[in-house]
Amino acid sequence: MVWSEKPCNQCCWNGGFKFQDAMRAEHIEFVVTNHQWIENDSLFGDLILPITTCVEENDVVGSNQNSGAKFQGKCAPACDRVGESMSDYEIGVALGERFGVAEKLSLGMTDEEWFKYAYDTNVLQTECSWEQLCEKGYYLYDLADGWDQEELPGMRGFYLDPEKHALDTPSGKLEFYSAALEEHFPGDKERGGIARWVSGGSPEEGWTHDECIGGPRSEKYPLLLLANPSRWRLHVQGDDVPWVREFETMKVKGKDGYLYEPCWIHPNDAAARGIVDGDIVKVLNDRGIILTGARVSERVIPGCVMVNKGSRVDPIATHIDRGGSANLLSPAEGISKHCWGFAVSGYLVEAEKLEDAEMEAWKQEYPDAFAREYDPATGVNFSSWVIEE
Amino acid sequence: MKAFLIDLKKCVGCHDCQIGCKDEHCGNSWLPYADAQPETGQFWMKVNQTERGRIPHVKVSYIPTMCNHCENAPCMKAAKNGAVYRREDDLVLIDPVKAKGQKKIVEACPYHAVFWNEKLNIPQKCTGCAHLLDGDHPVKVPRCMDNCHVDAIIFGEESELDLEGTEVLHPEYGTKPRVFYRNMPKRFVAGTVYDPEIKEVVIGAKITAMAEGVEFETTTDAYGDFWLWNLPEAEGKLTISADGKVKEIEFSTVSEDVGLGDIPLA
Repeated sequence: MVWSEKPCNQCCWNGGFKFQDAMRAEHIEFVVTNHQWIENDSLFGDLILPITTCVEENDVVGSNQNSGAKFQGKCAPACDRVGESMSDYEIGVALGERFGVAEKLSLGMTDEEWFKYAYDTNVLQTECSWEQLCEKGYYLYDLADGWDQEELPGMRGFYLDPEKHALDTPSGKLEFYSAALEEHFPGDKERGGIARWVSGGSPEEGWTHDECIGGPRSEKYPLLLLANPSRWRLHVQGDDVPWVREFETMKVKGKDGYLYEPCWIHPNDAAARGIVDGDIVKVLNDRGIILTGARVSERVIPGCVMVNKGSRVDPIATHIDRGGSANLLSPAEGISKHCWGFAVSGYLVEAEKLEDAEMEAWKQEYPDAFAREYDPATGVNFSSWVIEE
Repeated sequence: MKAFLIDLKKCVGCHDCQIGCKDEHCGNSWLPYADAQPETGQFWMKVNQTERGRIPHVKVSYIPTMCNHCENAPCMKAAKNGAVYRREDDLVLIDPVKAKGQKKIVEACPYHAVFWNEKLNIPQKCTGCAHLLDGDHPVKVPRCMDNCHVDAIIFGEESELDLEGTEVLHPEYGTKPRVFYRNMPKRFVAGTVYDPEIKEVVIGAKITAMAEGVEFETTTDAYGDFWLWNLPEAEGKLTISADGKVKEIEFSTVSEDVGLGDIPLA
């Protein structure tokens, strides 16, 4: 059984098509997701638990490490609960009660006791009393005394005196060659002791990836797909906003009225493939096919196509996606033999104009996929999947 | 007399004016100023973009467009029963009650700034957010202006705006728009100059261009690149010179900007 509280793996992470295969595997007897509406991985859910949005919850919040202004907040719900929704935590505790293990999760504390516990273990207590925080609802940290007079910011100390202000590398120096990597992780072709350009190759030769122009696989899939984050959404979030979907560069309206995810392609590459602006384009590799709308543009370098990651999936069939979710085509493997991480910034594909005959064949073969309700204003959405409420 | 002044050099194409306009008017009825705008399909404020040049010399220009609140408004002439009227502050408004069924008001606008609301059977467009200007509301300026993070959109008394050197869209329509644009993009010619013998870019090459009898001049930068800005729409001749070598290239900026790519200077 799989239970996912963040059901957006296939669009936001790597190896999307492989993830879909995994979710369909025979030995996974049941899939549960937590979601406010049916999105992405929830399409595989046998059961979807109704979950709160952050504005319905009584919770504590804080700035993340990248935030310029550090703050902590204690937020009362901004609105009543919608329907039967519960928070991830509440669902966990409720289920724990049935199994007689609720206390292991809640530690016998109420929400308020949890918040107080978090406060008591936080540096916040040195600047702001619990009563103040509860009354005001938020606190912005003071800057440290003399923060603007620090004498050795960043790597200045190392620059001035590398012996005295050694770096935290094994040698204390800047390492162009990492003896530690070679010693502990020998034979790693992508992450060796010296960082250098490699184009990759076959697994038989010990490579994890073959995703570069110039590598053997690029003979069949000659274009490098740049899966940049979109200017108009965050991952998948915001792909369904009607006012944003009307922006000129957000989607490409196909001749069938469907709003396809743009595939930015240089005029030279487009002409070589008989693609003109606005065409429905198949972007494909050995992992599958996604459908996109051609945006022929001088803004993308020849040899590359750009399909922003994060468009919502709209499966026609296994390994064929109409939504144009780029990460479906990305490799499932990690960065290298010894280094986990996801390689989703660029991978090899080919782009082809979708011929009417092929689309017609799909419509014949997979009528359900084309019978789903579709509103261009929001794209694939709740009503596309829910037949009856 | 009120007017809009939009500085295109400041505009970064974020579209927040377009979103702010939708937030103000979609689903919100501000009678008697305007009825609610439908959720999609109408753009009382719309950011258009133009891609210019050839790789690697490419620029994208953004231009927020809206009703021009024209002095000679064709929509007013096309309207019956005074359905389109001019306020004392010179904003041109459509009366949603009187304009019912008057599709000619949409057709009259050469800027395509008037939209037809099928459901309500009325023409609709930008009101300059007159309901905010008149009402007792914390926001007392048009929402597009309020939403603009870079102060590219200004609405105010014409006498207090610096309109020197500004332009209007399609002055040839003769409607006398009251939306003025500063830094409207002009044509450019760009390229990269290199020496084919040593396979290096040429730094500091002198570039001159003659177009419509005016001379334009620049030099190539550390990457061998040059950009000649603010050229007229014309046929012209470019001269590149460095180390005693000279090259002449004819160009045309009549219909588009020119990116010449890599230019060998032999």
